[in-house]
Amino acid sequence: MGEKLANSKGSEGLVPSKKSRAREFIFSQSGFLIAFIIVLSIAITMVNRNFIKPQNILNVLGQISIAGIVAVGVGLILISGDFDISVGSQISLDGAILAILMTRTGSVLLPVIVMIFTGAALGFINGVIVAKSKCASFIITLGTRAAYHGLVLVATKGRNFPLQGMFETLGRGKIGFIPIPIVIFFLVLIFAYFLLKYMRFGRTLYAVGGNRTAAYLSGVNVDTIKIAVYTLCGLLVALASMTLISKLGASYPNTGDGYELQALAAVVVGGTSLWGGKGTALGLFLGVVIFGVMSNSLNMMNVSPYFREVFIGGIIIVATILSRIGELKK
Amino acid sequence: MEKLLDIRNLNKGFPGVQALSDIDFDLYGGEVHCLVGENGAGKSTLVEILAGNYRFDSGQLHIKADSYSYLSPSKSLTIGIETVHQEDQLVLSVTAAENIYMGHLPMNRLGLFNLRKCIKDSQVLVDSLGLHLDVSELVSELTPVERKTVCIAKALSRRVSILILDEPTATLGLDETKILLDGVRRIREQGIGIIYISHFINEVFDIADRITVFKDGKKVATHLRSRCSKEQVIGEMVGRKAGHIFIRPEHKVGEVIFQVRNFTRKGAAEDINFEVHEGEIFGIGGLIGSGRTELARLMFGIDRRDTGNIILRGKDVTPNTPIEAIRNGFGYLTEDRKETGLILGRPVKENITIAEMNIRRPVLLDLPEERNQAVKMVNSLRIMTPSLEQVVINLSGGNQQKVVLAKWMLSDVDVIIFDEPTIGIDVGAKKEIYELIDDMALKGKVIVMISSDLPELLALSDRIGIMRKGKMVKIIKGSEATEESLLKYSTGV
Repeated sequence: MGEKLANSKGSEGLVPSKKSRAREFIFSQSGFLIAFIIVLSIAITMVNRNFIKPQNILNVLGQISIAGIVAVGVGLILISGDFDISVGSQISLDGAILAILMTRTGSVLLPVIVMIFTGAALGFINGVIVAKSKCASFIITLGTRAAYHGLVLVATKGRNFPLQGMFETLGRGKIGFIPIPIVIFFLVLIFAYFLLKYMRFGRTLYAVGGNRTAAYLSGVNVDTIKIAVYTLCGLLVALASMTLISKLGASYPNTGDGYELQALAAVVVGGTSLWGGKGTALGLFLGVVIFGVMSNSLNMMNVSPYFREVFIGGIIIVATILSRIGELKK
Repeated sequence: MEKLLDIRNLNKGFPGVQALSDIDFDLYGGEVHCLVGENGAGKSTLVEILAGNYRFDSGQLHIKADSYSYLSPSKSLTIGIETVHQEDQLVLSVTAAENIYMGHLPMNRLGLFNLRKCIKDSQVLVDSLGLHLDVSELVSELTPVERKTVCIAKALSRRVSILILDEPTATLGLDETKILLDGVRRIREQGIGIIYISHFINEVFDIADRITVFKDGKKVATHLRSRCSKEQVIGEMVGRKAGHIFIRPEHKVGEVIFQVRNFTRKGAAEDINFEVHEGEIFGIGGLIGSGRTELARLMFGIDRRDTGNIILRGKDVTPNTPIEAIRNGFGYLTEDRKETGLILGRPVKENITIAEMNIRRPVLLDLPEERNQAVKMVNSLRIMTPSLEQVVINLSGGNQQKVVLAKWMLSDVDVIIFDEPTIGIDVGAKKEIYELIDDMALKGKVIVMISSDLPELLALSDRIGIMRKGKMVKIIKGSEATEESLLKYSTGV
């Protein structure tokens, strides 16, 4: 297929035109996901007209924004070829520390700073173990998931910590008519887009996830990259936890339960390869939206919330199989 | 003795290459029939056909009284064909005895595994080979020759009439080889027909009853061992000179600019010394497994060395990690571009700029500048790709290799180590890559080129260092070397 290609046309042909890029986009995974969202929305609206109302759309976004922030962190790690399933426990632990310190000190700023450092540290620990041991990150973070959850129980002795009206704005406030969690989610997405597209760090994540050895032999410091991406995920999780605790008005020992699965489901649906090296910020966003729309539609169709877990599990399995089929076709 | 195997006019082609053409080959019970030839001569293809992993395109295959149109792996085993591959296929974490009976472990009356019988039977089997080995030991504790013995015993544990040994001594020392050859003689006495593949001519003349030479997928000749000489066989392996596809233009050779001193990693490459002059291409020859790639990995800082340093233009640039190597001006084109050279799922552009980016280490990428650099590389190396955004996996082998080359050229490295630069690449692209290598040498880059392709090594190298069993046994001038002399030093005749 080489002959008819670029070189006869000089450098012009090497850089795709706007038109061909548009065509490519429509047939890409993101294009497919957008089409899917549209079809899904129309279908749901036909069943229940309330779905398409602005209030409900804000509702959907509000519900997914916190899981969405976590999904960005998990997605960045997945692009680099690894997993973090300890994020749920991290949310609980970050949240517990925040709430305990706030109720003890009565101040806001110091607990928030401590919590951010905690979040970074939890991610850093994951990263160091995964990078240095070269063991399967899925198992390592399964371990830290249990350990972090244990630390929550140690710190809280199993009790809840209500914030008694402190620190409400972040989770419940609005900018104009848009809830702040949604704003934060979009800022995080823009950050992820910028990081993946314009920063060497983001580029390197793809390289490490695509072929760790080749990246290493091309001068990438693989261990540093791993540690950095886990730490970054820890920071995003801290941000999510902060927003969540503020929204709930209290910390519970099980605040973060289930977030690792929701995040993973959204990431996989968004086309981030489970084998690393593939994924985009747009994909992450669309994955989160699809996930949110689907759970919202379950609510609207009065499906029992007890089915939620079944549904999440199903989504992960189906999305994984679909992406595997796509991978095999190549 | 009974004729076990009779192959006539066998053909097997792969896309782009005729691996076997009109091959005749036969084997009698109780003989060792050695198969020799250079890499790519077609030996492995024949082995894979007999093991049932490939189907042949045309020809006749008779085994004992029956004729076959193809073999499947299970049919091959039922007939009694056993293959001992070059790489040991053993489970390290269990005993030798269990490995020997893997797949048909002896059971007791309750249908449970009978370890005692397994150990007893396999000990008898190993003893019958005249080898000393305690089969109740874990394979992970065994020496290379003992492991090879286990592989052979494993083959013999089934009803076997044709035994194929594919380079059984490639990783063994001289004494160990002797032990193994004694074992092979005992197997021959049992009336089993043995196809024995080896690169080591001395060893072949030690063990063979007959010797068949393959060259470029054709059979050159079959000799009785007693009726031929080593020189004759080597001459046939090399064959008539094919027309050179590349001749390096006249060039000046300047001062010594690059020195490798006392490079050693025990068991991989030992006490390696050589130097490269300005404008020179330094070739490294030797058999696969002779320590060439190990040396390249040491020079690039991938594996830890015991001793040694590298001097480039008077400065010590010995790297301890690949990252350091790249910063010190090294590039390494690995022998397996798909596994270790490229990020196959990423675009051409990113693969070209990755090393340069890691030298410069900017926080933010300058995307327009990156695109310009990649376009320049794609055009100057004439990489055939529909766009810079094309993922590399969709390019042909030659173009993939050019992408790897572009990565190092863009990084402006001073030293490039090539490991099999044209493996799996068509002739046209080969020539282009030779021109690029030549051009880099002329521009004062230090070129170290490992190759198994003898015509390539001869055509490009000013001098050639030949490796054998981890040592650089000889450095000869390219102009004075011939395929025969390279092969002689590589095999130690």
